[in-house]
Amino acid sequence: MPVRFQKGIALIFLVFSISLALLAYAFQVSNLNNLRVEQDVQTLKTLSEAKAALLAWAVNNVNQPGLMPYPDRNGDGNYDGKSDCYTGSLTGNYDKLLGQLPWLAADDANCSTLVSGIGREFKDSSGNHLWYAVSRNLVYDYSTSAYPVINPDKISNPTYAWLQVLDKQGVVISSRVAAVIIAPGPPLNDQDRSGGIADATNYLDTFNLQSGGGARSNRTYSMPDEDFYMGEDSQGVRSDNTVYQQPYYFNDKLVYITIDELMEELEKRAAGEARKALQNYYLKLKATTGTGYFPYASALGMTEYYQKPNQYYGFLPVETPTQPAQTCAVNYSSATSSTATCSFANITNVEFTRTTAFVSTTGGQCVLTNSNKTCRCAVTSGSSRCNANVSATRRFTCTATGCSTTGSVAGNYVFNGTFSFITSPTSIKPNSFTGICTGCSTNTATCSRPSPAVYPASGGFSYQYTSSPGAFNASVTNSVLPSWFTFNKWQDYLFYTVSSNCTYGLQCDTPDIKVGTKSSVKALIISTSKAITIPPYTIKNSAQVQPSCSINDYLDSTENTNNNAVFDATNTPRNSSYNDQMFIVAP
Amino acid sequence: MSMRRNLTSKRIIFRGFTLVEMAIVLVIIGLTIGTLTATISAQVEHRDLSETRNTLENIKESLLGYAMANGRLPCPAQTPGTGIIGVEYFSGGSPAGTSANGLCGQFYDGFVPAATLGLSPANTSGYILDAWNNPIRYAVFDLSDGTVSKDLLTATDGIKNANINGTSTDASCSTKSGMEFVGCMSLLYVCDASPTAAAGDVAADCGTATSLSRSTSSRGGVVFVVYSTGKNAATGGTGKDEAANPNSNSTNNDPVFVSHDPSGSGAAGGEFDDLMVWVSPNTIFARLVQANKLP
Repeated sequence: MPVRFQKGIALIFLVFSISLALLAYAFQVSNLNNLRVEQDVQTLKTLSEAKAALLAWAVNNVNQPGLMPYPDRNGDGNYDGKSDCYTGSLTGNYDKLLGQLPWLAADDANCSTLVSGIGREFKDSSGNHLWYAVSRNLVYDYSTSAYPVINPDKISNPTYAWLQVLDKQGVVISSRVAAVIIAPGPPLNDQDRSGGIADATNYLDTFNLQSGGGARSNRTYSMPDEDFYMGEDSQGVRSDNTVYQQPYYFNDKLVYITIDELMEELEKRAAGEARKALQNYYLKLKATTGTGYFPYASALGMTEYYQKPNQYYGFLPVETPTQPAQTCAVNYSSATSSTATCSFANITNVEFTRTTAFVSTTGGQCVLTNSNKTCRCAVTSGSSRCNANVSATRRFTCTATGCSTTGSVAGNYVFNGTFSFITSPTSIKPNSFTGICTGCSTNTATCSRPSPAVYPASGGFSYQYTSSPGAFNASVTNSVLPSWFTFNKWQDYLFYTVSSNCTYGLQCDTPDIKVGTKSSVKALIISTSKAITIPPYTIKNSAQVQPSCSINDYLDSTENTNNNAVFDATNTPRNSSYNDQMFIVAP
Repeated sequence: MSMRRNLTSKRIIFRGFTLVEMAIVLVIIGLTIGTLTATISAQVEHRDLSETRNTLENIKESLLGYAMANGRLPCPAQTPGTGIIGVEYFSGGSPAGTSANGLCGQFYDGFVPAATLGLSPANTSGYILDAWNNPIRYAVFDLSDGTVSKDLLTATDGIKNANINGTSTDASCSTKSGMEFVGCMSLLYVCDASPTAAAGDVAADCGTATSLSRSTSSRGGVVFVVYSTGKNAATGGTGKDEAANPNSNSTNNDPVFVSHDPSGSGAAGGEFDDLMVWVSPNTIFARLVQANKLP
């Protein structure tokens, strides 16, 4: 018995020791697994934060919202956290758009402007800086000193194809990728990152499928629509795996920013700038005239963006006309007539200037019809007669109310102007708003050869909007938009509507626009985003086409297009067939 | 004699463990327990760090959410005392601070106003604590708009209306307004080392240290920082780098902060275990644009 008892002690000790050791081992293995999962979670979290920071940086870029920084390459001998801009043409040099995510200011090699950095140094759980590739559509072109145009049309019609992100099988996840951010993970196989100047090969990975199809690589960037892969971590791939060619090394983790994501934020930024300018306009006019009001809209489909009196919906009137807006010069010695194509369709004035005297008089009056306009000076006597007999400049202006002249120079004088409208507007009177789009085509001014044909003159159309309502996008009304706004033609993607009693001369005391359940709205902006060209269609039975005279080509719901003052709520969710975003300007 | 031999023999047979055997077993047990203890200790430390980092992130998100809802950041809470004081703390000077003018009492050496933000769990004074039970600190840049007695980051719609009258005395930014103005101005600095010669000295920028938000030392690019003074809060805070971040052992009160990986007392900047998160102007602008508070 004592012998068994003593052996039992030994066994207990032994079992206890082994159990403890096994427990410790299991604990450590468990910890290792937990640590691995935790590291992955941390890396994904870092990637997510880096994506948010990069988006924020791009959306708030002072010079060009949407612009992305060049990567930090080892081109300047190190990874110093700053952008390395490339001054040559990017054609054939797309590798200049792959590097580490710059986290310090983007003002290093060759970058001409000082801008703030992304604001934080991002590293994956292995301590590596994140990598980054950006589409050519979103970087400054130093070879031509030009910013890229960035607006919703670029979603579907980019200058260069967008990047692509594919899954481990090579299936496209997104083909509209603006930028990818990659966590390289620990070095694999023969990757050597010592010295601080290792290239992409030593950070990013590549793999092949056993079924062939070539290398799937995150290391290269050789064409505008370069592919990047969300591959499978090799820690989870056994050596007898039959999907991948062995040995299999891959531990890149990737997030990406689509142009759609970026544009949704940019639309908010652009709409916000427009809203701020409109609010300032209102406040400025209230301070100076005692009555706060908003500008008229510019009609849809116009190529100019002038306020049109009594136009309550359309585009933002970001332009102020100058007179003459278009002229057509006439050389009577060599031609019988000359033409000029005007880029606008609404016409309030037809103006000609004679620069040489001795023109015989035929008399007449200003005749305005839809198809043919003839302006003649009717006054043949008196101090304001059109007969001029001296060398002087005399200007004729033909408006809806008749023909007039400026200057008081007497003399023999004639002016015949024949204005042929290829497609006439339904109205040329400044106060004859009908609610119908009037300008979707260009007009041609033809300056006919007068008799005798020796007196040169110049003239053309103009759309003269009187200054009394106040120019929008002008310092006089404290409503200047940033230069990038019109450079990117954001006015084409922001529908603007104003309450009918909140315009020039009115008190804006009973605003009539309703947005969702919110009534008494004075003015509203709707971001139209890109044209919807893929079914299902909600309003049109076909793809939207822009520019257009039809509101159905811009807005996407019955409520927004039924030509009344009621619109969808600001929180209406977007989907593939509805991409309107509502922004209340006031109140 | 033979009986004695038998007894002796039995004694040998019934012998327990030798001292060597016992020692080996005890060493094995000791090593195993030691390994377990070390592992558990590392786990606890890791958990504390992870918990504090999560808390800092939650606070950062709460502050951004507050800004989205109110168009302004809250003022930091005042130094711990009695009662519920973990609320935003306005200046008591003249003019007195309000949410309209954003004049705070402690811009750089204050604490997270957990009660104002509605964060939990908070202690009985309304402060939110790190894993080592110390109140977490928060600093927001004191950005005045020229001649106006207003702090743009903490006043309602302060960013939106920044320099709208062109009153800023900063020549390079005076022509800008709104968020472009704020983005142009120098804000808080977060540096990778203390720029000062002695611990706790006042600094104006990162000096020869690297700014973690911008590459030049002439412009700081951080709107607010949130940080924990770490495990060594009670005894640390006196090294050059930690002393740059106001703590219970440093009264430093300037817009320059330090953040880097933990270091021991033998490091050039001294012992450092502060944990810090910060927000760039871009991030807060993006959130305010989303919330229709900007531009």
